[in-house]
Amino acid sequence: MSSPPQTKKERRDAARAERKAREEADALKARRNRRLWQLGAILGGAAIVVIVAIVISSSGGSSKSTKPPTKGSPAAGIAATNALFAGIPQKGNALGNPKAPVTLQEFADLQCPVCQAYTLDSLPTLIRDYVRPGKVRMVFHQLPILGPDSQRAAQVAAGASVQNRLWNFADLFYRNQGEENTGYVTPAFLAKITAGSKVNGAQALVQPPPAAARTQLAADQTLSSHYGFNATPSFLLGKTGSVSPQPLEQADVTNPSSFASAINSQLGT
Amino acid sequence: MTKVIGVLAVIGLGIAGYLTYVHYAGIHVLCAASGGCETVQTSSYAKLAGIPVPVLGLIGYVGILVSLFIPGDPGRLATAGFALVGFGFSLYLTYLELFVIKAICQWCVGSAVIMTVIAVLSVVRLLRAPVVPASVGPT
Repeated sequence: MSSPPQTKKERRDAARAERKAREEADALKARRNRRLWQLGAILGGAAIVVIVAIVISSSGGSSKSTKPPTKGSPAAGIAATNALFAGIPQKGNALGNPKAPVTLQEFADLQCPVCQAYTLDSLPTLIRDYVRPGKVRMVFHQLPILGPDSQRAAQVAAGASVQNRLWNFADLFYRNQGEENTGYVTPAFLAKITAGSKVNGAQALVQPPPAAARTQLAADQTLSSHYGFNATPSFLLGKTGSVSPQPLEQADVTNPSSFASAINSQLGT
Repeated sequence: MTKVIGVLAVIGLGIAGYLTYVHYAGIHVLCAASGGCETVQTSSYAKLAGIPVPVLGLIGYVGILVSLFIPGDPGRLATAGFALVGFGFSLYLTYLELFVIKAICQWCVGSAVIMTVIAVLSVVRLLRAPVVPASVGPT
């Protein structure tokens, strides 16, 4: 059965419908293509945002980040470190009056940036307000958890502890701290920190570390394991000589007042 | 697919919210492995330009959730944009954990996996969305 011959109007309508369908198909194709272009643009934009974030992240991004001393130059901050501890007694890993009523114990990794922040932002105030007046004694325990650089630094710090210069060594180390696990804790770097903190490098840098230093590190390890500390910095606070000082969870290690209320409570003031 | 992305984004928001709370409360993070989370959280990579990384995650997941309520292609594009940025940054953070910090934070890995799935789903959602003629208008 053949279709009846189309009139001129029917042929015109059919052509119009065909053109309309073709235009709609083209429009759909164009919209599909535009979506692909948009996805490409989003991918490009996302890549740019991520690259910028990576650049900021790898450049440190923090105004407090410090760089290890360059070859030949002395360690930075020697004068500040000397001034901070001048006249305060040190014995082994302890700082301050041995008869102070309260003891604050810190477990730290010399590579840890938060420990650095605590040391630079809170420690000076705590020393001025509590250690110098003889109210608080501080003890520094090594908890080298971040990597090989931490282990090397801890061994030399333990050597400095044997010489009763640990606090100067640790403070100066933090002032020259580099990016963790980049291998910056070289013998040359350690020699600069020991020289700047008036530690006998020949004794502190010797490998294996002196027996007294190894004993100190083992004791620190035992104590941190006893309290289940696996993060740095961690703190214990209690009466001097107490066998059960309590872990101190403070809100902000960069704010000395976070420590002050707990210390005052122990002091009964 | 939108619902799946929404559920994943809420879970991611929970993880980022918990890590943000831990950061500002100064308490120890719950971690199954031996201190990996603490090591990552106390590393110098825990902040980007002074902003804690969990806060950035929080912003990303909120962005994804909000974009799911925007109708049509603009919404789908926004979701894909947030998810792809999150995916790229998660990839970088996972690289840092494995090869630089050398410690694994399960919360971060969980968030990275969620962000990866959201990124894949959001791109598929964008490409598979019905293409409607301009005269009909977006739905």
